Amino acid sequence: MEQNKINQLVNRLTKTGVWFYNLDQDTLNWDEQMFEIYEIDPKDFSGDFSSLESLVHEEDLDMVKESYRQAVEEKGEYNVVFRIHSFKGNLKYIKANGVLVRSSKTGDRLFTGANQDITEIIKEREEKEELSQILRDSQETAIIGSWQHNVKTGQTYNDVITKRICGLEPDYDLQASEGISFYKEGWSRDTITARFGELIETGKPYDLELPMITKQGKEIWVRAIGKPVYNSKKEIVKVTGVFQDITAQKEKEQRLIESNEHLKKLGERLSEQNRKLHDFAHITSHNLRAPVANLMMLKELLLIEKDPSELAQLHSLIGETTERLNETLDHLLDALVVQSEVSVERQKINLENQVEDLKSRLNYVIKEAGVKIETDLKLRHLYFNPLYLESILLNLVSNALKFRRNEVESTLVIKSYLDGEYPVMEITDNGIGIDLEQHRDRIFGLSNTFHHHGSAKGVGLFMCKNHMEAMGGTIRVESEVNVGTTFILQFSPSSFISE
Amino acid sequence: MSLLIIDDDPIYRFSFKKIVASIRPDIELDTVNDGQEAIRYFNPAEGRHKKVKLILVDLNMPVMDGWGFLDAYRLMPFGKEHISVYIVSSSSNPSDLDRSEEYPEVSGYLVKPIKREALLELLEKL
Repeated sequence: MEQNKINQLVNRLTKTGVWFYNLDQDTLNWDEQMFEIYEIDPKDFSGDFSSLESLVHEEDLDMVKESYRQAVEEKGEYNVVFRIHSFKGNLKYIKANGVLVRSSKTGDRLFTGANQDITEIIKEREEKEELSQILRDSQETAIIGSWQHNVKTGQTYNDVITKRICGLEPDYDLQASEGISFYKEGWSRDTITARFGELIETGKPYDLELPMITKQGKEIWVRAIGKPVYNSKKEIVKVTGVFQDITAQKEKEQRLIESNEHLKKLGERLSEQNRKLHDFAHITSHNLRAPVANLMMLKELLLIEKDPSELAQLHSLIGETTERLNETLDHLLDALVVQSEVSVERQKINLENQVEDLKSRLNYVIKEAGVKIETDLKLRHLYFNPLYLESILLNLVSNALKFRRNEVESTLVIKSYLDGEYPVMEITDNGIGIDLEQHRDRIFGLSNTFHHHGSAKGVGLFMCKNHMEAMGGTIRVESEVNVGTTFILQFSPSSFISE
Repeated sequence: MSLLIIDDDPIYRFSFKKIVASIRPDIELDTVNDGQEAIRYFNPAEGRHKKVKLILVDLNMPVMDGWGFLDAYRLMPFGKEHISVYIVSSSSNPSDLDRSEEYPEVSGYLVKPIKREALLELLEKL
């Protein structure tokens, strides 16, 4: 094949057209390929060099003109890429080279050059750019970084995102040993140290979620994945991994867990309130119905009774029953108030003063019954609601005073101490006791009385339990029939207050 | 023929006794405080079970409640064909009513206060 033919073939394959322009004669010659690039039939082409200007993309025109001017006046050549609209209106990218020579024959200035249609190459590059931009964008949105560690050289490469997650500049040289130090001290750092070592040694991959502290001291959560890379001899040459900031995700998770917890607590509180409501239904049916039933029977008897002394007894029974009814109502109202109180104020309470107040309030009963009260207050203060404490102690102490054994000298011991972090109070009597085998389950419920005793109304212990639980504490009882009873109040650690 | 009241409320016992006496002075009426006392009352050696025809038992009582008594009553070694047992309670709790159905010994469940008509009907049995 002759050289000219080869050139033509190459030009067609590379979409390169060749042109000649005689500046002095203003004559332009295009080869076949030029016509194809500019998409015009040779018959329709005027050959007017200046008319080509109108084809150049308006944004590139100044640049093309300047390059041409420089080529003619100074450099003698040009080398530019510009866009054209072909005669058919298609946008094309043209890579143009040209050199200025003088005709050896006429001395005319001749411009000769080539135009290559690089539209496809540019488009392809743009697509690639776009793709990698999409990839970068998605990585940045998900904040996924990557890293490699060469096992042989011990060198680590961390990408920009990995470094950014750690709070480092893009050009910072972050090596594995330093990278590990960003993991939060304790189990997080211990875990990554162990697993990274294991990955290098045995090739066991990992996928972990761990807390880190950035260079700026911010605590974040990352997902760290590490995998081995083997060579043909099945040796681990590199370990490589992905690194993702999952703080937002973790926070969402945490919020979800918290709201679940909250819901669970609400549910528990609701069922607790339901249980109490049930108790209330029970007490209205028993503690209120019983005296009402009695009143109705007594009323009937009033109608038939003629004997004056019997009538007097009926009157006194009606009085007693009405009083009992009234008291029950008062207790119920108290209980209602306690249950509806959402937050209760706490104060520093001096236990010694509290017990003294109690003794003076019950002074009459204590003297009459000849009860000996001993105190052993190792814990002198309590951070608690004063009204609640007063009510609890009043209930427990009056219970103890009520249920005395007549055959022994009655004693009452009030203790306070610290059990670990829990403040504790104990009230011990040597009274008639409670048969716990029979009553343990119901002892703190409503409407329960355990003694054949006129004063037992069965609300006090329910109130004590309510008060204690409202403040995060507990109450329990130890008792033996005809030996005595101890009530143990365990307060929450937050009820502790230093002296 | 006699009637046994098992109830821990002294005013109830007092009033009930009086009302029954006003309607049927011929009826012998005994009262006990709770289930345990009722068990002692029915000590076979004393033979009281022979004359008792009606038992009215409360549910909420200290020491031994009505259920405890009913469990023990079932095991008592004497014929009970002539005795009717009624629960008389101030509890209108449906769970108590349901539970009472499990006791074939129990003929009925009455909520305090007992209406006059119901009382008259009960006393008819004696």
